[in-house]
Amino acid sequence: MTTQGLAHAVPEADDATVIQLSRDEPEHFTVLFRRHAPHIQRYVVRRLGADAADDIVAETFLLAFRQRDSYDLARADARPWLYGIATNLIGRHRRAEIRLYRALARTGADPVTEPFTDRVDDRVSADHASRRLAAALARLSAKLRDTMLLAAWSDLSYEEIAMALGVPTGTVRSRLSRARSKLRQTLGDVDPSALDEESQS
Amino acid sequence: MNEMDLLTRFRAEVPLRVSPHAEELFHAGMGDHSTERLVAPAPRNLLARIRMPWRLAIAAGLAAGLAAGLLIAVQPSRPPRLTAVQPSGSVLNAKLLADRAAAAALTGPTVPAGQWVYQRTVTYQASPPAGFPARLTQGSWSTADGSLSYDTGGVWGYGADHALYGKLGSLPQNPIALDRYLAKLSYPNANATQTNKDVAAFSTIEQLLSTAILPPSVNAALYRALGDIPTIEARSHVTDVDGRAGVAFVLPETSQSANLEIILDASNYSYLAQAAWEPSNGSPNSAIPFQETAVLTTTLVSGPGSVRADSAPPSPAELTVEQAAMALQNNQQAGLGVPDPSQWIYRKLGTSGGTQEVWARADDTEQASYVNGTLVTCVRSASCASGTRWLTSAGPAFAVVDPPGPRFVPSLPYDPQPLLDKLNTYRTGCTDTAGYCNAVGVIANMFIGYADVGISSLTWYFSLADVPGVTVKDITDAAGRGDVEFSFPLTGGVTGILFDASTYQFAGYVKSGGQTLLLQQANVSGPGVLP
Repeated sequence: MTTQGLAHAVPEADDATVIQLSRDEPEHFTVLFRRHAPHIQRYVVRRLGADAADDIVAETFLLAFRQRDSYDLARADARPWLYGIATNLIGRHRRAEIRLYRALARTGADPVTEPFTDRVDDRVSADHASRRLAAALARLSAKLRDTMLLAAWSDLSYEEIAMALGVPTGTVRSRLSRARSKLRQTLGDVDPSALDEESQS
Repeated sequence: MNEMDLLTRFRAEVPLRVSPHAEELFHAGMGDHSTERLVAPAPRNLLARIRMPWRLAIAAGLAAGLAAGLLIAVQPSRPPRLTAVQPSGSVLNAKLLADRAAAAALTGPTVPAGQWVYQRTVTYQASPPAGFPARLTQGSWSTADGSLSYDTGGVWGYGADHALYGKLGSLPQNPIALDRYLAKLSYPNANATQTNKDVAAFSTIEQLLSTAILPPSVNAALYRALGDIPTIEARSHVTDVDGRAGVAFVLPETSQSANLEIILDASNYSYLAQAAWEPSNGSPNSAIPFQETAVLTTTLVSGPGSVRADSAPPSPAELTVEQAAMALQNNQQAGLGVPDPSQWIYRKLGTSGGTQEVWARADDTEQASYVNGTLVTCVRSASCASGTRWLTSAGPAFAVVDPPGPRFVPSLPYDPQPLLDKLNTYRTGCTDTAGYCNAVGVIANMFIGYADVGISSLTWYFSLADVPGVTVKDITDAAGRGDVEFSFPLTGGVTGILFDASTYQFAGYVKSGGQTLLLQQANVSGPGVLP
């Protein structure tokens, strides 16, 4: 399959248009992959490591492809949909994800970032704060962690995170505030400026 | 830096690119669809693509002589899904299993919510992440209500289910109503599908059964509720990953979940394990490799970090520390956080002789105070320091608490009791070493003098609860504040440590019958600067 020509065929098309086209001509769906897979991959790798990510990224787009007929074409941007599917798939590996955080918290070495550190010199152990953060992430409930990491790593707005997770926007806000206070507790970080910032918002 | 910034930078080294292998898998999957054929892409790992029971059978064959023992131990618990015939005379349905499990649960012990429990578990994963063994045995501690947890290495955690545990006494008694209630916790809105609700109820029950030691009546109610989930099934003759004979509640796979199992002991219906697995069903990438976590042992212990069996109920001091842990979690604005070692901190101290203002760096290497109206600043090695009463007059140096360098390797033990033993080796001038007078003195010093006590301060609190003969009482201190006092039956040195009764922040200590109170503290820009 060539994807070169397809990108040119729909240069300005938004995601919804691409999905609509793909209903008759499946190969158009590869445009969506080219557009969003790098972001989805980075998000999944940051949560589960490179090895587990490949399958999940491919499966995210293949699942999306199989569900393309039910996609709401009024939503021009497909990212909430894709992040939602990826997050669900990540949820099946919850214990593996937690083990990775705990490994970092205990040993200071992060199996997730190891493959992306080129020089031996760079393989310094994680700092104290990262280790505490990893311990804190391991302790969050799956729902709080999903919400928190989408907010931190995906560029989605609160409304889009709500769409991705299938919950009201208010739920996203309350989960974020709960997750942040739990993280703050484990970090022992009571940076006054951070607290001021929040009370103003 | 706040937690959001920290999180944004966390694992930021991961590049923004799609891996060739992910792309290959995607195109292989798409390739089939582009011609509308439903053919599976070429598998990367043959075993991973085969339906579970056969996968294990094949794996067992391949691995014979290597890990065969393990794989064979797993295999019998996964009969092929199509085997609907149960051994004669033992037709087990979910309601029957629920009734039996509930009846057995009612005979179980009542464990107080604050009791510490040590559990050893084994987790088996058919395809573990890189660097992890397929079979991992771990030990960890938690309170019976699951609200607090502790892992080796000083990792404290707060359970997600504390709120739910608190409501256990008022849960609906009717099993169907209980399912509805549990499902509503996950789906407060009315638009959840029946599948959503079934999975939510099952998962919540699974989580409660596997993370908390529940009151017998609640345990029984949860088992009955499992039996009333509409799609629930029961399976007899199951073996858990530890090779134990079991019977299982099974929630068959749905669009949003794998096959989920709760395995109970076949003879006494006690909780053994939880498992998840999914056959590939022609959609290879969606298969969830088999994974299971089995509880090997559950032991009531004296506290976090201890593996010695001790079924004595938690002491008032221990319960107070557990309350402190929850209060500290809920009130992050108190305290100084973890400032840089060189940060200047203003403190106002109160004693029977009046109040005293002291400025000190967070690591107490430099101190300043007014002498006859003049601000005198001293480093420890300077001659002016001889007349200065250092905040941390005895105990581990700050470098031991927060060692410099990128790698955080604390020199003090992580677990409460070993920490207490270690602290007791420092000399504070007291004599009752058997009563841990040195340790108590050091802890008082550390709390009043170092803004960062290194390993989680919770560990220090729990150490105090381990001092022999410790008692707790509510007091009003000399400054009129409501405090909780930890009192130690010591003849000299520090005999009491005070915490604020609501925030549980350090409030002061008692020495030779007199209180030294921490009246105010704040980060400031330098000596002499007021907050």
